Amino acid sequence: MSALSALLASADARQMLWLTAQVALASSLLHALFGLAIGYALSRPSWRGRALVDIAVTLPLVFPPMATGFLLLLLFGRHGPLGQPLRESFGIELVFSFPGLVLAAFIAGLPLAVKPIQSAFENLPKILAEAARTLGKNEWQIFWHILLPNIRNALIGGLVLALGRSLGEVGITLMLGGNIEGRTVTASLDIYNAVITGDFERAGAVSLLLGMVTTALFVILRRQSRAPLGW
Amino acid sequence: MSDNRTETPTPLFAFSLRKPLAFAGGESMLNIRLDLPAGQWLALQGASGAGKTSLLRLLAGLETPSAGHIRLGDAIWLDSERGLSLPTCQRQIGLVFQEHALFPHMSARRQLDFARRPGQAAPSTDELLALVGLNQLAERYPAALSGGQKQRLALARTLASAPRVLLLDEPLSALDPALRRSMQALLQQIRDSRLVDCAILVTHDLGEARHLADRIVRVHNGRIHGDRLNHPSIHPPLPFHQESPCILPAACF
Repeated sequence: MSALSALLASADARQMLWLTAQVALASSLLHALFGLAIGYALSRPSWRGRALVDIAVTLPLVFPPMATGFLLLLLFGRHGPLGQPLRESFGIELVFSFPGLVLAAFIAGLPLAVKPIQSAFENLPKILAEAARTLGKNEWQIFWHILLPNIRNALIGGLVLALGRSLGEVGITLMLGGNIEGRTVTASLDIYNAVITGDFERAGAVSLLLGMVTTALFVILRRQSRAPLGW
Repeated sequence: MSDNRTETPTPLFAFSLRKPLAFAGGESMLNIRLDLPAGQWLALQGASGAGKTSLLRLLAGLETPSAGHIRLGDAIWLDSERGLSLPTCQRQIGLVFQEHALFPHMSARRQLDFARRPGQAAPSTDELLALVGLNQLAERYPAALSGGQKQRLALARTLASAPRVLLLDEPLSALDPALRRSMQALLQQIRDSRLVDCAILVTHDLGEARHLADRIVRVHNGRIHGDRLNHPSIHPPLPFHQESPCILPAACF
């Protein structure tokens, strides 16, 4: 506990934790948005490109994180096929920057957000949407008022899993973020750096903090899953 | 086809629908044409797999026919020749599903509030809950309701959406005799109160059909095999819950 207090007293550690929280928040928002959109799309019957999207989303689960990070580095690097137009047209630098960290966390956690949501949409009885249609509701009203509340537990579960994966992400973050002290070092990278430099006390304190946060999320998730459906 | 209709009032709800379907008797073409005058309650009878539920789904726009036409008053819902098909949400139809299809995350009261269509006159939520005897259970969720209560809630929810045409898919089939009698009385009340312009009721029960419908149509393999008005003086209602045979004898008509 004294190590934890010492960690929280340190300005650079607070900055690192604040950066981690910002990345976690930004990637969670993206996971919610894209997880719902992609999960819903993949739950629909065959459409052109469905298999391709499914593979692209699932790939980070099975692909080695370092290799995924390297691929993203090639794509989003200063002269990469996506990085160059992003930089020249919109002034967005993804590599070795905050957006790069968010992208790394987003890519790593996306399959864990999408799959439970997709499965929940697939298992929802079709008759609920049909009943809502006969009551005069349009597709947007059905999505918002009927489908979404009934997949709430899967959505929360997927987001917590994705957040856990994002918080523990090292490989892709290292490649896209560059592990720059004070700029792109997140909690997991900080543990890695502390172990490399022999600062086991700091590594233990950051690990404890991450463990407490993820355990708290897990408890919230368990409670939410027992609550009545809806918002 | 037997037909002893003596009067032909102007049809309010008219349709002609064709769709190839797999029936109990094999692959065949559902081909049904019917006209309903205002106020008519029509009972559809026939064996399982005769195409009764498919017809309701086609009318509601939940399935697409290969060809057809649906008209309610002056409003065209479907005209396959002109490539016109109103989406389900724009058809003023109410469908009470056999499986209830209640929303598990909404209380009874919220189901009815959600069902309301803006600008359409329908009894208030409290009036409808009282009508179906659920005013004491307004805050309950479907999981805490019995089968009969769920069926009554499904009916009230449909009425809250102010439908002009009411479709009932075997609304009493899963209920015990006592609940069937109370639900039948409720449906009679709804019919007499003219809350809807016309209704089509799918039922296997001839007694139920004679109690509730002005007209009984028998369907077999997607085609009409009998169509006659229900005259209580000629055919006194059978004791309720007397099951009809799978294919009704001509004497039933």
